[in-house]
Amino acid sequence: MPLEIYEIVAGAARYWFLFLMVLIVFRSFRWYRKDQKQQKKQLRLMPDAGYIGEMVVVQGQEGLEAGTTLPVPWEGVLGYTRFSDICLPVEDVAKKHCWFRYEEGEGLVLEPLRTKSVQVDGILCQGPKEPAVMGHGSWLQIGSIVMRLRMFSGYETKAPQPYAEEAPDQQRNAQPMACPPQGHYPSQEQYALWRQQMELERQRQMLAQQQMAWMQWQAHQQQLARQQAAAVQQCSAEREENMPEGAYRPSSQIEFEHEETFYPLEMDEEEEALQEEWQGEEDSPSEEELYGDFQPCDEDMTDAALPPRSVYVGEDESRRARQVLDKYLGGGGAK
Amino acid sequence: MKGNQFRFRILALLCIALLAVAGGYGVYSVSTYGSRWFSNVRNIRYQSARDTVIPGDIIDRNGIKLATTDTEGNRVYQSDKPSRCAVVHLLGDGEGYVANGVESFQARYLLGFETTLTERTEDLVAGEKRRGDHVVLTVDSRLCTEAARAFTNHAETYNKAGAVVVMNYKTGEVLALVSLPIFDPTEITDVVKNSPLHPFWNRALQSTMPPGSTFKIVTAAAALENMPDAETRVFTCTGATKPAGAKGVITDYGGEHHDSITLPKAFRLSCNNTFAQMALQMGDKNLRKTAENFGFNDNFLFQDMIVENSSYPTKNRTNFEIGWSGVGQSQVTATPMHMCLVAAAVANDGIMMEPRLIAGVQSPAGVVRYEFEPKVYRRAMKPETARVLQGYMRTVVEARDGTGTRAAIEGVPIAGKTGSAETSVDGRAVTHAWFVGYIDDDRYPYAVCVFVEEGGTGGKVAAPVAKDIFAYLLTNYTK
Amino acid sequence: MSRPSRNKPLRGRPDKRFCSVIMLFYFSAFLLISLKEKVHWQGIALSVVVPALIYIATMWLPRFFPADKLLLSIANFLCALGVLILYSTDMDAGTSRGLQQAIYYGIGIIAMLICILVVRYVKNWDVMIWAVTFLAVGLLVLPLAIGTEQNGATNWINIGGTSLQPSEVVKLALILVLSYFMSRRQALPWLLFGLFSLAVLMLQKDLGTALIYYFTALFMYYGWYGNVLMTGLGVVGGAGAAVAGYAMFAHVKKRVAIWRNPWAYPETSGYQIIQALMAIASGGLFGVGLGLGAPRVIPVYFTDCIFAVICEQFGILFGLLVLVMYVILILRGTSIALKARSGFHGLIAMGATVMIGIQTFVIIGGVLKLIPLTGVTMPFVSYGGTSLVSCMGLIGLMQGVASVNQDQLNYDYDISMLPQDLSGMPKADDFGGGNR
Repeated sequence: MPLEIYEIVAGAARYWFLFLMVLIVFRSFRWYRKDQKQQKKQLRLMPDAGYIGEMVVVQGQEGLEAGTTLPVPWEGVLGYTRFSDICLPVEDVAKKHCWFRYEEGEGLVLEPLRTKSVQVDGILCQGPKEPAVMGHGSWLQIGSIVMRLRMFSGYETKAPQPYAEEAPDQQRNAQPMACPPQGHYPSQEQYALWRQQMELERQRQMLAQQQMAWMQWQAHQQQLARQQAAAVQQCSAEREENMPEGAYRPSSQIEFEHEETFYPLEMDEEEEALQEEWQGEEDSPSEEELYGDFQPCDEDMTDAALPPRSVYVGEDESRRARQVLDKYLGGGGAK
Repeated sequence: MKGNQFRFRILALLCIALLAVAGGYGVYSVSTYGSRWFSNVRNIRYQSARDTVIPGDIIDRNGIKLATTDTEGNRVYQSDKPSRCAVVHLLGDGEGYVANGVESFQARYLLGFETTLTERTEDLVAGEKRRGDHVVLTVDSRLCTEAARAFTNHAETYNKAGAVVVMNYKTGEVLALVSLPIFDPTEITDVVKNSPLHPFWNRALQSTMPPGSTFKIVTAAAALENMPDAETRVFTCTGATKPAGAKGVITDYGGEHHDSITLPKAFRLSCNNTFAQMALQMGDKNLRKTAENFGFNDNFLFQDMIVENSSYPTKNRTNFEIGWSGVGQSQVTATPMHMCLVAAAVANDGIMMEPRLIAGVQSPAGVVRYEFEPKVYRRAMKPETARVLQGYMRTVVEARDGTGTRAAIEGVPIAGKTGSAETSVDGRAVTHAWFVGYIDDDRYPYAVCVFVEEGGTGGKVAAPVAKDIFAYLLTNYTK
Repeated sequence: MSRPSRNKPLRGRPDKRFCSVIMLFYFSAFLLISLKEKVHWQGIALSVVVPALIYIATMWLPRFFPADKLLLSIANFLCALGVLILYSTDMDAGTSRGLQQAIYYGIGIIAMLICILVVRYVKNWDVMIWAVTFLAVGLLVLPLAIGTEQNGATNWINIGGTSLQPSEVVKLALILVLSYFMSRRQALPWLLFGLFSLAVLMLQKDLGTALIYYFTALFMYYGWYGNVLMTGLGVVGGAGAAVAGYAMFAHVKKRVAIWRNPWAYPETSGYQIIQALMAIASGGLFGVGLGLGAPRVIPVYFTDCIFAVICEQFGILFGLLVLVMYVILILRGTSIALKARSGFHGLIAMGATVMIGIQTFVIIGGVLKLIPLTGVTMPFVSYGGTSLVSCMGLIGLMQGVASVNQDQLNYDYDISMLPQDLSGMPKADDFGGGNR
């Protein structure tokens, strides 16, 4: 188009481009905000994300009570000030006492600052040239504070031999399934596989328990039914005995007014077939119907974040197990 | 790591703050200086625009076409030669020898950069070549011609360089802006180009010269505002005042001495000693503050014109220099336009209006794009001070011993102040002649500044030119 | 409970909406410009190809590589803006910078992917970092040996017709080296490397890049060590070095003189900045329109003063909005750095972010006469292969850190279901009170 017309069109187009640019800026900012919110929401569901474990104070002082748990991030400073990632507000600890970072395959590496010293599992480490390595269950002593490191499962590495005098009890192997066998240092992938096996194991246990509970309920119901039938028999027999001559004899078939309390004494073939059908159906009855107040719960799951239970026990566990399989053995996933 | 989290956030804020500063500065500088950058004569967008757009006309306040474009596309000025020459510095010439004339400074309007899209579409549809807008000035070209003629009429100013500025002190409209020597824009010969008087300079707006005794208006205002007994205090004028620690003395013109003298008389007689002593007594800081209230040391960013900044020195002030500054010498500099503004401030009870050149802008179809509205530049002094100074300036012209009696017109209340600025050019001692004044009548609210380069004493050389201009205003301007 | 998955789309699909607006913008822009005076078939082709490329790069690429969509989208937008401006100025000039820029964009994407993979998969940095350091030193010194001079700076190498600027690639190495040694708290190696690179750049008279290196290192130093006193000393030292440079080098004096009053040298050294200012002023708020105005009057309009061209054609409001896009880039980079678990990754992300921010400030300040004009380019928008590649590399570093973060988050989620081993841990009741 000739230049004059183009000038007019381009002049009008200025406002169009400015409008689009404003839209672009708004939308990009909105995308950024939405992403932030989603991340925050996810982090709220996992309050332990970003931490590799906790330090539990075993022997403390004023200002740091025994029993306090301090979360341990991946990398940080241990010191007196509130700005440090592990804050120990006692006089033995300097403002910046030592650096720590988590190394995969090694553990929590502590590097005390120049003139400071820490004791890890009884071994004194002084200065940055002697870094100390802590694993799950290690003891850390700074001055008069004694702490023990509990790493979250998944970050555990080798657990050194605890100092015999300080360790109160030696029940490390109480639950053999709770942690991998001693001396086995798995990598992340192996850990995931092991975990998936654990999931399947647990699911099997759940199903077995469910089966058993169902059988018990069945037996319970049948027993109830037999008791009822026996009671009725006895009652009618007694009445027969005590009945005067010429009295009204009701039929042997007992008629009840309410259908809900109808217990069949003998099931004929039709009813048996129906009952078998009902037994074999996919939709199992709800938890409350099955167990009443009998809860098959996991004693292991105390601290970790409990997933919400779905209505059908085992449903979402199996779904998640399938997802884990897809992720580590199927396609897509860990890229 | 908590420390890192905190510091990273600070770093991010710092980077964003840097970018915000850059963006804000961009917006600020474009909005303040944008039109100046754009109006620069080196902007080639003008050249390309001149090919596609018929430049609009420049019209004076009475409807006389000062510049127009003929059918062949040439720029045509007034046919009357004196009129044409008188406004040459105002308009600028066609080849860019005169800087920042209306033709280039207002090219935004004249070359059609402000036409709207709808108007362009209409022009396109009608098949016409685009036309720029017409600019109506506040200037009266006949007054300009008269001012130029006044310079040639008097023997003392004939063939001298100088400037004349006439403005309306109530609204700020500039009625005449003439710089001498003038030349004919249609024939720019080598004689003109090589003339030693540099005729291409617009002395009214661009040449900063020591104002001489006209600066005593500022000194007097400073004294009235800072010294409580300024009006009655008695000074001793011995003809030679030696400031403390100075090697030289401050003398009066012609070596006069006035013995005991008060401010009103010193103003009337223009006694240097008194004003030097006043400057030393009230202190450089007070005098500088008052000068800055009057616009010295300020970066003039007037909307319609580019005026060189006036300066009152701020560094290394010895008593000698302070004394002479009170008298308007020693590195105090101002343009004739600014001194006109000073007189206008006194006349307008202390309010200095912004000088305006553009009365209005119209599109070729008659759509009014812009209409002039008076704008206040700053408040120079308190109204009471202004009224006292008004009285003083009246005596300068009307009293028998005033220095500006040559500007007096019988029966007309004229006020003024003369100035003779002594300075040296190329080793020669020269005296520039100044006169600033106004008509103290609401029907003729006009202020005038006459500057004659190397003219001599203000009262003798510049005042008669001012009188001619006052006379013209009184006869031709009926209210 | 949903699993933190980087591929899970956000509700309302803000990524699609953002992408669609950008595509519309470039489609209409290229269509308009290709109809100027005569039909330019290249432009019409571009009006289809560029939005398609943007769509592919924004929507499909993150499926195959762990890229951060938001960063990638903003970078795409800015690169395409550069192509648009260059093409619109190309059309009359007969140059083909727009298309060349598009090719460099492709190379830039590859560089970005390499950086992402390097940050993600390299585990043993102890060895790698020394390789990077020596490579960087070599690249820095190369122009001194076989370099050519352009615009007063000797930091270009001519290889087979195209000129490269190694100091741009060394930027990435600088960030890696600084991050590694700072996070290990070994001050000597990175100080040496920084000083060496500054010295080489001064020798090559590339003062703009030296400025950026210095301030990036200073900001990273503050970000990690947090020593306000030393940082202040660093700023003062930088100012002192600037003054010393002013006293020693003549061309620095010239630059400062034309910064303060370019109108005094209108024909010679001040010409560039004067023309840039006139262009910005003639654009006003809304610009003169795409394809109009006189951008080619500005010397070197395609690298240094491309912001002036944008402001002339689209207006200063548009220029401000482009600055806001850079701000969003910085915000995103910072949030990535904040989520990083190890100091090394956090420093990489923060260093890249700060570098982009400082570079943008230096060039925009120079064009607007806030600071003297230096020879740096505007990230993503300016023409220049190595500059585009290095900026995409910086983005790649940020995205690499983001993908590492995401992996760690996913791992945390997976192991959160594991039973915890509380054996041997004292329970709260053992102490009779006082739990956290």
